[in-house]
Amino acid sequence: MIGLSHYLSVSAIIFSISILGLMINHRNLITLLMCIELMLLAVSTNFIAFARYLHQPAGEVFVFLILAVAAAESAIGLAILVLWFRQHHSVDVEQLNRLKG
Amino acid sequence: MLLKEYLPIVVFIALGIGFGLVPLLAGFLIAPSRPNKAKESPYECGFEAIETGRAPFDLRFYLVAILFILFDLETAFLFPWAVSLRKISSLGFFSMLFFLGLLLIGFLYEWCKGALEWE
Amino acid sequence: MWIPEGIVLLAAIIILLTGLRLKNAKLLAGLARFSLLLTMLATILIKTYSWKHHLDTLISELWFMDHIAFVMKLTIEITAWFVLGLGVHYTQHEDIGSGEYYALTLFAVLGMLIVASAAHFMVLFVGLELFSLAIYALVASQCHISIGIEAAIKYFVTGALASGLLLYGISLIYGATGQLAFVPLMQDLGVIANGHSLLISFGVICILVGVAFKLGVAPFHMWVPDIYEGAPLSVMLWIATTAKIAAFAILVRLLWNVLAPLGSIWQPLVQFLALLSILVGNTAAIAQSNFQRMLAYSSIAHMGYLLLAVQLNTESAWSVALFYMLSYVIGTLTAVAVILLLQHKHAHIKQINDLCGLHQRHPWLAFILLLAMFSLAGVPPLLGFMAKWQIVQMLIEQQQIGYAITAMLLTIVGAYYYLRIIKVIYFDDLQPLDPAKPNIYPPALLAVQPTASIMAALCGGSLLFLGIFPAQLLQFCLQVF
Repeated sequence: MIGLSHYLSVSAIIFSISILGLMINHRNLITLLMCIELMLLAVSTNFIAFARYLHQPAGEVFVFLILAVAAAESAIGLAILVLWFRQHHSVDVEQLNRLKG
Repeated sequence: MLLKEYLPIVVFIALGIGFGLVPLLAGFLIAPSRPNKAKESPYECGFEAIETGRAPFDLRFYLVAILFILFDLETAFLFPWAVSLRKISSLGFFSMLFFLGLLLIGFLYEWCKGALEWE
Repeated sequence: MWIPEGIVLLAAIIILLTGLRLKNAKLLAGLARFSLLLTMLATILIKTYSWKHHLDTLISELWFMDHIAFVMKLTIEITAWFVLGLGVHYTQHEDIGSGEYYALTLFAVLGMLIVASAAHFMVLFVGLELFSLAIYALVASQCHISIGIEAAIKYFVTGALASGLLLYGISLIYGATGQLAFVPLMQDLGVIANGHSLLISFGVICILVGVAFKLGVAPFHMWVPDIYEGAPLSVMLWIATTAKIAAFAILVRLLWNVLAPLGSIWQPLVQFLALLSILVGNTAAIAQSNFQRMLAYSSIAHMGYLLLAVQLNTESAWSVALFYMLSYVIGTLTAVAVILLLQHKHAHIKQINDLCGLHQRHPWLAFILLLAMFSLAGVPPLLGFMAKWQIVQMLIEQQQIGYAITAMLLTIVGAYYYLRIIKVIYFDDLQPLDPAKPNIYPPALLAVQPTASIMAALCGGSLLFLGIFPAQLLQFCLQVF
C-alpha cells in the first residue's frame, strides 16, 4: 500500500536532487531553471499528499497558486536568459564570473 | 490482494520497456556493421558539412514560449472555477472576471509592444 | 480595506499602458510618486477609521489590519516614494526610465503591501513572489550591460531557491497541523509546542533558511554583494531599503505571528545567524574598494544586529528590531542618495576612491554623506547609535552579556570602514578622472536636482534629529507590537 510517507519520501528525494542540481551544476543555465521547476514540483507533491491525507482542499488550492507562480518565475528566468544569450551567445554558467563574491 | 490490482500495471510497464528495448538491441546485435569514410561523414546534399548540426534555436521561439507558459497556466484557474461556479456565489464569479481583466491588460500590453509579431 | 493596494495596482496598470506611447520618464515617475502619495493617504485614513470604529484587525483569516501591517505599509510607501524621487534623474540618464520600469516598481510595492498584511500562507506566498519577480526584472533593466544581467541571474536563482525552501517548510508545517491561516496555526502550535514532531522542527528550519536568504544574512549572503554591484544604482537602492523592509515584514509575520510558540527551535539558530553575519559583514567590508560592495557587506552586518534583537522573541525586542530597521533604512537611503546625486556623465562613482576630495567641491553633500556614515557606524549622537544602543541594552537586560560584548567589539571593527570613507572625502586630494583632461573630477553633479537634493538633506537631517530626540520614534515602535 502506498501511503503518505512514500509520497513524502519521493518529494524529499526530488527536492534534494533539485537543490543538489542548483549547487553543483556548472554547465548550463537551462538546467538551473529546470532545477528550480523541479523544486517547486516537489513542494507541490508534498502539498497534494498532505491535502489527501488530511482530507482538506486547501493544500490543493495552494498547488494551483504554486503552479501559476512557477510559470511566472520560469518566464522571468527565460527572459533574463535570453538577454544573457544575446550578449554572450551561450548559456554557460562558467561565464558568470564578472562579479566576484 | 492489493498487489494483484497492480499486476496489470506491472505487465504494461514490462511490455512497454520490452517493446522499446528489443528492436534497439536487435538492430545493434543483428545488423551488419561495416563502417567506411563515406558512411561516417554527415550528409549535406553532397557537400562537406558546413557547420554543426547543433545550431541554437532562434530566440523568437523562446519569446513565444515565455508568453505561452504564462497564459497557458493562468487559464488553469478557470477549471476549478467553472466546476464550482454554482457554489461560490457572485463574489466568486466577479473575482474571476477581475482576474481575467488583469490577464487581458497583460495581453493588450504584449500586443501593443509587438511581442506577437514574428518578424 | 484594500484601497491602498487598489490604488497601487491601478496606477501600475495605467503607467504600463501609457508607457507604451508616452516616453517622458519624468511624467511617468511623477505619476508613480503621486500614486504612492495617494496610497500613503489611504493607508492612514483607513487606519484611523478602523481604529475609531474598533474594526476587527483580522479579515476572514486572510488579511491582517493590525498595527504591524500599518507601520510596515507606511514605511514601505514612504521609502518607495523617496527611492523613486531620488532615482528620477539617474533613470533618465541611464535610459531605463521607461513605463515598464515604473510599472514594475509599483507592482513590487503592491507585493510588499500584500506581504505586510498577509495572515495566510497563500497570501504571503503570492505577495512575496509578486515583489521578488518584479525586482528580478528590475535588476535586469539595463539590458545591454553584462554585469547587470549576471546580477539578475544570480538574484533570480538564489531568490527561487529561497522561495522553494520557504514553501517546503510551509508544506511540512501544513502537513503536521493541517492549518494554513496564521491565527489558528499559532494556537495549534502553542498547544503542541512542547511535544512537537520532527516534521515541525524541520519545517521551521526550512522556513528560517528561506527567510535568511531573502534578508541576505550570513551564511546565505553570497548573492548580496554581487547584486548590489551589478544592479543599476536606483534598483540597488530599492533592494537595499524597500525590499529589506518587506523581508523584515515577512520575518515578523512568520516568526512573531506564527512560529513564536516554537521559539525553542529557532532562537538558537537565529543567534547563530546573527553573530555570523555581524562577523562576516564587518570583516569582509574592510577589504572592499567598491562603494556598492561595501554597502552590501554593511547591510549584511546590519541584518545581523537586527536578528540579535529578533532572537530574544519578546514584544519589546521586536519593537527594538523595528527601530533598528528604520535607522538602517534611513542611513542607507542617505548614503546612496548622495552617490545618486553625484553620477557624472563621464564617470560613475563605483570605487570609494572616486569620492576623493568631495569636501572641496560639494561641502554639503560631503556633510550629508558624513552623517550617513557616522549613523551606519553607530557614532553618537546619530540615529544609528541609538538603535545599536537599544539592542545592547536589551541584550544586557536579558542576561546575554556575552552577545552584547561581541556585538560592541565587532561594531568597533566595522567603524573602521565607515571612517575610511570619511577620510577619503575630507582629507584626500581631488584626483582628476583622466590625466589628459585635468579639469574633470569624478565627484561631479549629474545635474542640478533641487527636489532630490532636498530629499537627501531631509534624510540626513532626520538621522541627526531622530538621533538626538529618539524618544517619540522609540515610543511609537514600542506600541506596534
